[in-house]
Order: sequence, then C-alpha cells, then structure tokens
Amino acid sequence: MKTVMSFFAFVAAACLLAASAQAGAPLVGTYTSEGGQVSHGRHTESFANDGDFLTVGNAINAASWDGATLGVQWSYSCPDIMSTMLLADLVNPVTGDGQKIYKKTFSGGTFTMNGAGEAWDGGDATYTGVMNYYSETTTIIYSNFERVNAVTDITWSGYFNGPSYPCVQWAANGATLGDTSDGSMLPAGFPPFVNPMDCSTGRTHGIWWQDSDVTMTIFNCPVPVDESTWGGIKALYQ
Amino acid sequence: MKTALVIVFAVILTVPLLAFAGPPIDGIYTSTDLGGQVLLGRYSESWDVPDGRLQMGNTVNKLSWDGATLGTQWQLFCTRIGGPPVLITDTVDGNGNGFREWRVVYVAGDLVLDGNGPWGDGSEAFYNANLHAYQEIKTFQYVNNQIVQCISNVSLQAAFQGWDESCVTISILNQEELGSTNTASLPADYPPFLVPITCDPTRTLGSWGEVDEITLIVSGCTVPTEETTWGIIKSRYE
Repeated sequence: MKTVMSFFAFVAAACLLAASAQAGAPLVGTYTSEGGQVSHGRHTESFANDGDFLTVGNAINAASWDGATLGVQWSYSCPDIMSTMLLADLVNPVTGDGQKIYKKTFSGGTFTMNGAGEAWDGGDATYTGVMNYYSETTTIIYSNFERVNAVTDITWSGYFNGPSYPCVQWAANGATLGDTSDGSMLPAGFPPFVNPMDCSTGRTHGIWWQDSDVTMTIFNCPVPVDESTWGGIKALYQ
Repeated sequence: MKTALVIVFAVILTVPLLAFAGPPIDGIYTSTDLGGQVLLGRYSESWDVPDGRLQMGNTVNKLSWDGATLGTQWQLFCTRIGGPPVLITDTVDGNGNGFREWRVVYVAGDLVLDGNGPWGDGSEAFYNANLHAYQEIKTFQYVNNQIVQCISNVSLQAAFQGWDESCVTISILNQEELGSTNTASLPADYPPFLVPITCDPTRTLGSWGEVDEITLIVSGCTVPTEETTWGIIKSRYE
C-alpha cells in the first residue's frame, strides 16, 4: 500500500514539475522584425582560406544587433555547409557581368534566445534549442567576373530544449557587407568566425553579412514520446 | 555679321555638349541600408484571382520610397510571371510546417532611373532600360499549412535605351512581403496593382511589401571623348 501511495505521490510531483516547466515555455506566435518584436542581426560565415565562399565546412555564427551590442536578443551558431548547388548561372560569358544563384544546405547548429521581456516570454530567462534544418539560397552579383555582393534567403527550424517545449521556424534576408578575401579584416561588432563542428573561435577568414526582414514563428509540434522514462518510473515502483 | 558668327559659334559649341550629355555613369550603387545612396522601395505584385500567388501573368510594380513619395528615384514595373514556377525546396511536413522555395522567371518590364540619381549627372531627366532577365527566389514559411511569410531574392538585367548596346545594368535585391488582399486591402503609399502587358493600374488583387539591400551595377555606358568634334570646330575657325 505504501509503495502504491509513493508511486502516486511521485507521479503527482512529476506532473507538477512538468506543469511548472511548461509554464516557462516560450509563447506560441509569429514574431517579426517589421513588427518590432525581433531584432535584425549580423552573421559571419567562416572560411578555411580566403576565397572559400560556398565551400563545404564553412560555419555560420549569427547574433542579433541592436545597433550597439551583439546577441542581446538571439544568437545561433555552427550550422556548417554540407553541400552547394548552382541553381542558375546568369553571368554573361563575355563581359563577366551577371548573377549566379546557389542553394546551400547545412547541418548542425544551436540557438539561444532571451526570454525575459520578449514578446515570446513564457517565464524562462533564457531559451536554448537545437537546429534541425538550416538552408540558404544565395544570389551573387558579378562584375567583370569578380564577385561584388550577394543577397541570401535564410531559413531554419529547430526545437526548444525543455519538456514539451515548442518548435521554431525562422526566415530572414541577408546581404554581404565584407570579405577577408580582399584583404579586409572582420570589423568589430560582428560575430567572430567559428570553426565547424566544435564551434570554437579562431578562424580568421570569411565573409560577414547583415540580416533583416526576420520572421520567427514559435509553434506547438509533436514531441517524440520517451517511453523509457515512463518505463523507468514504473520499474522503480513495481 | 559679327553677332551672327557668335551665334553660330555658340550653337556649334553647344550641340556636341548636348549630344554627349549624360549616359548613366558606370559604377556600383548600393541602397542606404548597405551604406549607399539608392533609396529603398516598396512593391506590389498583382494577381488575377483571389489567393493567386505564383500564377502566370502576376505583374510586379516596384517603386523607390523616400519616406513620403513613391518612385522619385527608380521605378521597376510591368514584369510578369512568364512560365510555371519551379519548386526548388519543400520541407513542409505532415503537420503543414516548413518552407517552400520557388524559382520564378518573369518576362518583359522596364526599369527607369532618375537622371539626378547617383548614376546620373543631371543632364538627362531619366534613363529607361528594358528588362531582358528578371527572376525571383521566393521563400514561403508555412505553419499549419498557412503561409506566415514570404521573402525573396531578386535578380535582374536590363539594357538602357538610346545608348550604346553595351550600356546595361544588373541588380540584386531583397524583398519582404507585408500583406496581401487575402486579409487586407492594399494600403496607401504602395505601388498600385498592374494589369500585365498594358500595365494599367486597375487590378485589385495581390500582395505588397518592402524592397531593401539593393546592389545595382551600371556598365558599358562610358562615352569616349570625341576629339574629332573639337578638331572640326578648330579647323573651321583657323
């Protein structure tokens, strides 16, 4: 009898804990930079060597930018390029003027979002999560066969760390601002170049971008049932 | 007699100056959000039917926006979807969450640049260029099978009319959709919806948004010095 009572007490406590954790989950909704809820940002894409634009292993490091400080509201890092594919080549073969459009696919990445005071504030001071999809479609403009600038559509999705916490989708535009390939140095106020995989800093080559037109949607999503947890609980009280 | 000679001389001097007044000036021009002088803009894309995205004949109208007036610096209008869009990415899952990216190719259309813009010396009122390539990568974000956002990379190529055939412009830019007639009416101060081909501003359905992160290159327009003109003048009065 005592064992049964303990079991129900444990389940009740677990339910309370779960409810408490759920209370801190980010609030479901669509948040935009246009609406003022999400900051614009900046990101870097590190190269192993100058000129390695579009190369496998280039790593992303992004952070919100409020005009003075990086990463106050959001950051994400370490999606790494897995492949690139040319979608369209519009460069004039004689003059070297025109555009090329590439699809870049990535893997990996984690994100962090401020909680307190944000439109999605559900009670936690900070939210973290894992990216399970990151992609860019990049349009590059050339003059006389030299890359002049690029714009990109950024899309990613992921899930927040936490029991029954929701998922997130992100879409934004980007445009290049500079590149170490022409001898420039990464200016202050941009996320440092990071190494792929372990995301450590230390790379010194790459390109930097500004990010705008952000739309972030937080939505409820199916969470895989971790049956072993309940099995473990039952096993403890059988 | 003396007066007549002075008039003739003045006319001879003036005519060549007028003849060589003002092709657009070769250069790379960026929008104000990238540190340049090109104004950001606003756009509309007209539909023929309700919720008529991605349909052939949808017609673009983009105009610069200085915060008060549309189209004072540049106008890009009447390019229309010329063929079936191509789906290049589809991550929308069984719950209706994810992204779809489309490559959309347009036909026809004009780009008009103000003669007093950063590419002009003020000697021409405007420069008109015929679009010969225009396409968009449109990225739609879906939640529960509903579109919550559309962002685009745009690339275009155009040839200036009235100047050497080498005198061309190419551009890339980003845009963000802010609304559509699915849920609202076209606000004031946005470019009107255009009818394809005739370009009449009489359509009533479509979407609208903002244009930013513009890079525009003018090339092949530089006029070589016409020394023979001065030689002729000199020889006449020696």
